[in-house]
Amino acid sequence: MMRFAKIFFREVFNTALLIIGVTALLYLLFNLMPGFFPGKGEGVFGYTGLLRRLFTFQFGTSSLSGRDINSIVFPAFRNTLVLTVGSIFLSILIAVPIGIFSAYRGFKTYSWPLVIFSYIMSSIPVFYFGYLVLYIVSRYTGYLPIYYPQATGRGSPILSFVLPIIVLGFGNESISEIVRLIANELERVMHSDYAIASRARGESLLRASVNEGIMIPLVTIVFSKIPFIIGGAVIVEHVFNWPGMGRLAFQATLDRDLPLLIVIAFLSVLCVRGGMLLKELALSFINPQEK
Amino acid sequence: MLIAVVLIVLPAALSAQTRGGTLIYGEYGAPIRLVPVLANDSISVRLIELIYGSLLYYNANGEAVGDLAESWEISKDMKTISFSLKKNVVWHPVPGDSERRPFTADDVVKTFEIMMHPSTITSLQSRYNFISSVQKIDSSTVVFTLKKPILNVLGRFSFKIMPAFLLNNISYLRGDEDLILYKHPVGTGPYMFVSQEGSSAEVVLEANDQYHLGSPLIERIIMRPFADQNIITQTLLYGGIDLEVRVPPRDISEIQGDAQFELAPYSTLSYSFFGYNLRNPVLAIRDVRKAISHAINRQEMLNSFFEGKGQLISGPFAPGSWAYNLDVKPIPYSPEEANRLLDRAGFIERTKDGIRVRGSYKLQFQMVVPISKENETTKRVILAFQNYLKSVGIQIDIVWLEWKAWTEAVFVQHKFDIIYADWLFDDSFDISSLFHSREIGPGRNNFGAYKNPEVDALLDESRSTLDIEKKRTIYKKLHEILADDVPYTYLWTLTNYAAYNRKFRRVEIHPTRFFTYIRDWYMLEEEQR
Repeated sequence: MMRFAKIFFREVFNTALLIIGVTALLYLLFNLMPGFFPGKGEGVFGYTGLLRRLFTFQFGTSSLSGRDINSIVFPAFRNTLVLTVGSIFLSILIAVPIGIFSAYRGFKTYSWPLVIFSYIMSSIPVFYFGYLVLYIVSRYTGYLPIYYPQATGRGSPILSFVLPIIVLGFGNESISEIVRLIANELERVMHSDYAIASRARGESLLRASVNEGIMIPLVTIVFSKIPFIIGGAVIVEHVFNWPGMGRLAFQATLDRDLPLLIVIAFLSVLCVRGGMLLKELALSFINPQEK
Repeated sequence: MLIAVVLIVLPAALSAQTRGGTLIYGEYGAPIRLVPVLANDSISVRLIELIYGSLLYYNANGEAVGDLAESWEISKDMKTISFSLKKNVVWHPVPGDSERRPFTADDVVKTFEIMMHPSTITSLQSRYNFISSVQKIDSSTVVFTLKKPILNVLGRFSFKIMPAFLLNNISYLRGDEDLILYKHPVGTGPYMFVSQEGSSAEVVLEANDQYHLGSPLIERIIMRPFADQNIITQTLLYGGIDLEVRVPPRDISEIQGDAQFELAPYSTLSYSFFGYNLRNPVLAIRDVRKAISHAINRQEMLNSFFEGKGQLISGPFAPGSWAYNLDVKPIPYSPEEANRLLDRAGFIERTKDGIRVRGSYKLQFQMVVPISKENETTKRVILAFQNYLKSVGIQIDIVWLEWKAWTEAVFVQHKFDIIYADWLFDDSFDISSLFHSREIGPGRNNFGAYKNPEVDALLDESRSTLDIEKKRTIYKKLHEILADDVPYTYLWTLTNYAAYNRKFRRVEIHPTRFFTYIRDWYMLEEEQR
């Protein structure tokens, strides 16, 4: 328990430092740029005011539209979360069996088409794949599966909800990495002494090697991929008209909506560092020996 | 004869306008601000047209039609205009307030005062500084006093009126105040604001049951923003939206092939041009500017990038308007003529990459372009421009700038050689802010520092006359000079197309304000989903 607490506090401390660094840099840059945000040009006081607003989650109003930032950012954050978490689960669901299978079989008759498939899926640009899926699905079902807010839904809500997740799940480039790493690691672990020993005792080989061979590479990859998946989500959000953070950030940049941009940067840092924290905790749970 | 009329009218009356239904329309981008004085993006302007009312508006035939004004009277010396306002108009309900307040003269006065306050951030002030004061006579009469008479004065009174009771302690708007009006627009128009979704900025409107011209027939209107232009037309074709405000040119043929949808053209009322910075000594040579105009094939660009949906122009006036001089023809495409002019200007020698030089001057220009939303066609136009000029020995370097940096570079610092941009046609055809030498300077519209005493004199003369015939002769002369002098290479004015589902009946679109006739649109009961 002590160990978890230690990791937790270390990560929180790091996150706080990072947030202070990022916001200070943004505050400085935005002070040099034309455009307005509350606290601009007030030096240290302006900056502490900004920090206070961020840490109390009272984000104020957008300089461009005059709308409440909390009511803009939180729905968008929720939408992106659904998209990224869903797509990660899908990637894992596809990649892990392929990885295990090819570790067992080696790169042979049955496993190579699957491995090649995973490489191809990962190398298709996600915007192209998105349009392709849109085209095919709308031709065959008669619905255009883009995002419709619940109140005004037309077409097929389930399709509109699931397809973007599928596209990002295939297109976020993590499938091939998971496959490759699991295949390599699992194969190495399966040939290690302790695995052979446990096999000799008549225990399941997979069970003995699951922690070191699957869980550790999986956790490492998935959590380190979080920033990239958020980046890939921008494109999927565009193609499927999904109102998430990426689209919001893009629009806010074009419009120079500085108060909104600071909030988005803040939430992104929280998100990425939160992922890191989860990764550390998960790793120390899987492998208690790890320092 | 009478029977025939009855026969024609009767079926129309029988299938009478049924109330109800939802219209979902798609926009590329999100509205920025639903506040009349502050908004200047077309998406917000279209929504404001639905929510707010104005004293009067101009219909498609150019006639003034009263909206909030019952009638108006212009004095003999054309220096005062008095409006008597309708008495049965009420504001939309304010959240948390059951009573609906009446519209009065105070609202007009307050809106005008806020609009003209020097601290208000708005692009409208220059249109209205000919008005010296506004006065409330009684609760349903206002009088505007003008500094000097101007032509087409009624056209200026189409600004939207805001509710004074929500602007009590406010004398100007900068956009950062904490106002109910910013979050929940309250107007007198045919539709009332219901909600705006947070993350997607989707706006829901509901028919105003107490609209003073009779409640509109379509019950709900939803504005759906899109982040990606490529899927809007597809969404229309698959029924996700009912109306696309602006169809990208290359999607037009796809919609044309579908009997379920109708295309409605409307003029953009703006024109595109290449503008030159005459502070550059090389571009100050008229032959060089003329050579550039000769070197580009505008008809081909119009045909291939805009599917020919537009018209070439030869000067800064709307084609078909009384100010446009049909005797002036657009400069024809002729690379030979361009080469001849460049030779005559002394740019005979060439560098080894084929760029013409004269002494230390080189025909190499910097073109600054804003990274706008429509940058796909913009990019094509600019690349074509670059190629056309390369073939006559002129090099164009393209610099992409973010919008605010672009306006800074062009209008304030004048750090550019050529721009590709659009101007709106002014409704009173006043072009003095573009070409008068008085308008040279930081933040002024004559960004290219064009200076011609003859043009100055003509512009001053046209401003002081109210006689339309005299004005016409002056403008024809101006058109001729400005075409020959080439401060801009005038390109084209485009036709926009809206596309809508045929289940909506009696759809009519106003060229600038779009939803002006929304009250009459309807759909049959069996087609309301």
